[in-house]
Amino acid sequence: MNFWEELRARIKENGKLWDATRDVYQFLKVLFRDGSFEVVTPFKFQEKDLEYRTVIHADADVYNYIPAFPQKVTEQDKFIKHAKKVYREHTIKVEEVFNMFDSTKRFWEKLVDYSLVFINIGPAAFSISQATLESEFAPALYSIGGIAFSILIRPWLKSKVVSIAFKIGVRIVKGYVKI
Amino acid sequence: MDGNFFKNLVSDLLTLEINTIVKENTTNSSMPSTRRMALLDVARRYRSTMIEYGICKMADGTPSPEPPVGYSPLMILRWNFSGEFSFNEIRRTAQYGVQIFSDKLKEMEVQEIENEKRRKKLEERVAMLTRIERQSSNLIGMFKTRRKTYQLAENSGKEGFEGYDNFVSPPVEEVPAFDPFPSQRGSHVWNNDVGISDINEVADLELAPEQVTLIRKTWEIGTQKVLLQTVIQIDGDVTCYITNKFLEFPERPRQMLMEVHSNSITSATNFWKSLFLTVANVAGSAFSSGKKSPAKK
Repeated sequence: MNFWEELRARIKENGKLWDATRDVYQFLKVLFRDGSFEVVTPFKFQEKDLEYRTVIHADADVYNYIPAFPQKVTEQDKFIKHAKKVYREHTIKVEEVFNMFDSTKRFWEKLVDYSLVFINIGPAAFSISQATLESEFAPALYSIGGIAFSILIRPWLKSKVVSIAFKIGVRIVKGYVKI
Repeated sequence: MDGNFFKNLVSDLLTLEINTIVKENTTNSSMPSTRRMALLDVARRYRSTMIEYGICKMADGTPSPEPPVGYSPLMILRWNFSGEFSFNEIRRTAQYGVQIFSDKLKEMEVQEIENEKRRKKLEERVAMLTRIERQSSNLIGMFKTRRKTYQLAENSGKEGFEGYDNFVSPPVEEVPAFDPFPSQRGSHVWNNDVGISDINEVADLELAPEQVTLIRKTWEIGTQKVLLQTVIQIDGDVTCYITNKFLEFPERPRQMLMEVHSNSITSATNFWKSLFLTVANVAGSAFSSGKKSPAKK
């Protein structure tokens, strides 16, 4: 993979993370309005409409609803075979909901990383280009100090930014659902 | 206000509960569109379960018939709604039911220890009634908080805010002792002891997020039998409840149920951890700002 391909892949990946941020907003909106978020996977078995339903509550509690098994043992085996296949689809949908929160966190954390790189790279490049053997190395030292400081505060800044983003998100949602 | 919201959220996140339920009719099982209807749905299910257990009957103008010797008298349910007074009556009836069935269980321990099936049935009933009692208490607490909030807001006297201290009791000649109570439309803003026709006319209940979650959870679990339950505490304690009903399933369905439950535990735990850390971080600042405020004075 060359540089440009890698860059494109990174942009695409971060685009997905941004999508997750948007999804989290939708998720919180439903969560505060209805008290929970539902993932439903409908399916048919012998002309009967059935569904898997997973309800995720605002306090993270989870309720799983599973359709009743047929009474006859011979039908039970067929049902389990079919239901297991559908359950795999359902699990993927549920996992997506659970993971979108982490993806959002990753998006904001990456945003911190990129911002720090952006803030430091310009002055650093400038001081290196200006530095000669004769000139003093003070500007270069300043930028090295800046980078070191950025690395030090990076974890703290990340958690702060994630909290602020979450707080803002909740406030917007609260405004929307008029809590 | 924001600080309180996050503090409440973080205390709600101290435990994680995962329930697995097998449901006969899983389709069209969405919650009613209004909170009032959802509460009514819950109250109706509770009442019909208790009537089915034979511990109470709906008020129909006649007193409860004298029970045969050895049987307990029927309680009379005079509230047919889903507000503080209705849930209070439901809670009292459930307590009464727990008492009746617990006594029967004690008698059985002495007399018919070999009757396993009957013992299981009684135990299930005690568990269900205990749940009804607990959930009703939570809902009563919610209405009490609303009552206080509106009282503090000095709304008393305005339309829809009646009945802070007691429900608007009609004169005995209008509603005799064994008749159902009328709809309490006068208190609709903070309470929900109102009939369907009133529900359709008045605005829906305005609730805080944790109250919406409480109604939703109460509605979801209703009177359904939970097969598997795992409760994880933030300090690392994990409790698993496996019901008799789960053990009665044939091996393959049982395996599948366990698989669903285990998968759910894994994914929910990761989500919970992530959410808890974020919310605790936000709430942390709310806690510390809360601590600082007295010092400022």
